[in-house]
Amino acid sequence: MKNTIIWLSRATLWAALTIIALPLLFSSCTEEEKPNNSPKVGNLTIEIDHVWGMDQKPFLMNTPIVHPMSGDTMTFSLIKYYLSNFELIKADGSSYKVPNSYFLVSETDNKIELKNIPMGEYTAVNFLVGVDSAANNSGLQQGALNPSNGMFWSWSTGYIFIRVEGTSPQAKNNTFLFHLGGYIPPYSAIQKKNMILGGNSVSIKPDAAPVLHIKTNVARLWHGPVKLADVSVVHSISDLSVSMSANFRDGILFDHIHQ
Amino acid sequence: MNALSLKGLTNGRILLLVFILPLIETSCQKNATDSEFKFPADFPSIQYKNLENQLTPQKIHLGRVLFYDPNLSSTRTISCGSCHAQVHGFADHNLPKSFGVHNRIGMRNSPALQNLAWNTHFMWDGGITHLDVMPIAPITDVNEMDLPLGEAIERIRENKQYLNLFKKAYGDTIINEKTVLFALSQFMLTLVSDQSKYDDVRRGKTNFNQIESKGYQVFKNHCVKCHSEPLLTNNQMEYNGLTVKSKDLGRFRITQTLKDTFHFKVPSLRNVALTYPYMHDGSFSNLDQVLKAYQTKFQLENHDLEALRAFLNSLTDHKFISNLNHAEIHPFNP
Ligand code: HEC
Ligand code: HEC
Repeated sequence: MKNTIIWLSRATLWAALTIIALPLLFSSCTEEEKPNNSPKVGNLTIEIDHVWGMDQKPFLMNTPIVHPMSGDTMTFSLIKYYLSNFELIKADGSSYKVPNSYFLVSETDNKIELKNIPMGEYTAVNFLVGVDSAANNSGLQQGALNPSNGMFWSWSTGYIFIRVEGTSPQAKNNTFLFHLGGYIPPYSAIQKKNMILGGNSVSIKPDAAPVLHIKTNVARLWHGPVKLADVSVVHSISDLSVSMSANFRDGILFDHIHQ
Repeated sequence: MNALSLKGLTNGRILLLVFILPLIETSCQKNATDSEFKFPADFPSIQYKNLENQLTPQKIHLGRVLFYDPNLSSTRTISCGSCHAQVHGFADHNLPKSFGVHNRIGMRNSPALQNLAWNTHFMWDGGITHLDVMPIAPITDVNEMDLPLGEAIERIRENKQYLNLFKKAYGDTIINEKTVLFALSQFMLTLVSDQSKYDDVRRGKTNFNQIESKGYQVFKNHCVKCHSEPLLTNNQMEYNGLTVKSKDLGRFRITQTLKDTFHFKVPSLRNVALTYPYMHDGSFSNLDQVLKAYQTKFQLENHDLEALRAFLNSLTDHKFISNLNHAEIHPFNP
C-alpha cells in the first residue's frame, strides 16, 4: 500500500517533470547552436544584375532588344533559372556547403540570401546552374523546387533549369521558347560554376551584411552559331540544351563585393 | 552556461528520454495497427520511397476522394477515375486512347493502375520516376485534365468540404502540393492486385487446370524475361516488336538515345483480360490479336496460344475490381 503510494507519487513527479522539462529539451538545443556571447555565423546576400551582351547593356523585359551576335530582335516575356548547391571557399581551400540552397532566379527575383555561414574570409563561390540529380529524382519538393513554379517537366521527371520565352520576327511562328534541363549524362545540362571573387574576399561575420554582386549576361545563351531562324524551340534534353546551358553558365560573372 | 549545469542538463535529458521514448513508440505502434492496409508479404519489397508518407486510413481515404474529383480538370468533368476505371483494372473504358477535357484525345492508351508501389518507372516511356509527382502529368496535360497544378490546389482549397478530410488526414488544414500529392499516392499505393487465381496457385491454395498449367509453362518459356513474376513486369522499357512504328518514339523521348527508340515500359499482365485494347497505342483490340502477333515472334503452336489465353485469364483479380475500398466515391454530393 505504502509502496503504491510512493510509486504513484513518483510517477506523478516524473510526469510533472516531463511536462516541465520538455520545452527545456527543445530550447536547450537551440541555445547550443548559437552560444549567446559569440555567434560565429553570418549571412551573405548575392544580388544578380541581368545584362545584355559583353558590353553589359541593360537587359530589358517586354522590349525588343537586338542580339549582339545573331542580330535577332528578341522581346522577352519570361526568364527564370535555378542556381543551387552553393559552396563558399576560403583561401586555404576549406569550404562550407550551404545546405538546401536552391533558388529560382528571375529578373525581378534576383536576390539570394545565404544564411548561417561560418565566419571567415571567402575568396570563391561555387554553385550549380540547374538542380542536382538527387533533387531531380526524389519525388515532390517544396520551396523553390515546388512543381507549381512552372519549372517542372511533368511528363519526364525533372526540372527545367533555364526557361526563357518571348517573341522575335526571326523565329518560326514569331515565338521563341527555350526550356533547358536534363540531369542524366550524356545530356546532363547541370553546369558547375566556380566563381573566384577576383582576388578579393568577402567577410562573413555576425552583424555584417555583405552583398556579392554578380552579372548574368542573358545574350550568352545564344553564343556561337545559334540563330532563332534555325532553332526557336527547345523543350527536351538535347546537345543544344547542354551547350546552351554551358554558355549561359559562362555568362554569369563576378562583379563586385559590397562589404 | 557553466560546465556543471550543462552536465546536469545532459544527464537529466537522458533520463527524460528514457521516459519519453516508450511513449512515442507506443503512439506509433497504435497508428500502425489502426491502418488495415498491408502490402502482401510474399511480394518483393516495395519500391515507393517516401518515409514521410506513411499510410494511414484517413490519408488513403482523402486520396480516394481526390482521385475521383472531377474538379481537378479545367472543365470540372474529368477525374482520374474517368480514364482509370476500377472495372477495367483501372485502365480506361476500353478506349484505344482516352478522352480528356473537351473530348481531346491524348497520345497513348491509358494503362491499368495496380501494384504501383513496386513501379520504379511510370508512363509508357518510363519518363516519370516517382509516384508522388506522377499526378502532375495528367492534371496539367492539355489533352487530359488541362489545369495548372497551382490552380488544381486552389480549387481543392476553395472547396470547404475538403477541410474536414485534410484535418482528419494531417491534423491540420494545410492544403498544398505536398498534402494533395501525398494523399493521391496513398490511395494509388493501396491499389494492390494479388488475389487472382494465379496468386492462389502461387500460394498453394489451389491448382491450375490442365490447360492453364500448360499456358503457364509456355509463359515461363517465352514471356517472363519481360513479364517477370510475381508482378508480371520487369519494370524495364523494352521493344516487343509488335506495334507499328509511329511518331511515338517511346523511351527515346526520354533518353534521346537511339537504341531506346520504340522501347516501351513492359506492362504488368495482371487483369490483362480486362484492360483491352492493348499496347501503348491501343492498337490491339483483343488478346487473341496480341497472342497471334507473339505467335509469329516466338513461333508458337496454335494450342500454345489457347493455353496462354487460359493462363492470362487466371490473372484476373475479381476481388480487386470489386474492392469497395477502391470504388468511386463523391462524398460531397450525397
Ligand atoms: C484523360 C485520361 C487520363 C486521366 C484523366 C488521368 N490519366 Fe493517368 N494515364 C493516362 C494515360 C494515357 C497514361 C499513360 C501516359 C503515357 O504513358 O504517356 C496514364 C498514366 C498514369 C499512371 C502511370 C501508370 C504506369 O504504370 O506507368 C498513373 C500512376 C496515373 N496515370 C495516375 C493518374 C492519376 C492520379 C490521375 C488523376 C490526377 C490520372 N492518372 C488521370 C490517362 C489519364
Ligand atoms: C522483350 C520483352 C517482352 C517479352 C519477351 C514479351 N513481352 Fe509482352 N510486352 C512487352 C512490351 C514492351 C509491351 C508493351 C509494348 C507496347 O506498348 O508497344 C508488351 C505488351 C504485352 C501485352 C499487352 C498488355 C497491355 O496491357 O497492353 C500482352 C498481353 C503481352 N505483352 C503478352 C506477352 C506474352 C503472352 C508474352 C510471351 C508469349 C510476352 N508478352 C512476351 C515486352 C515483352
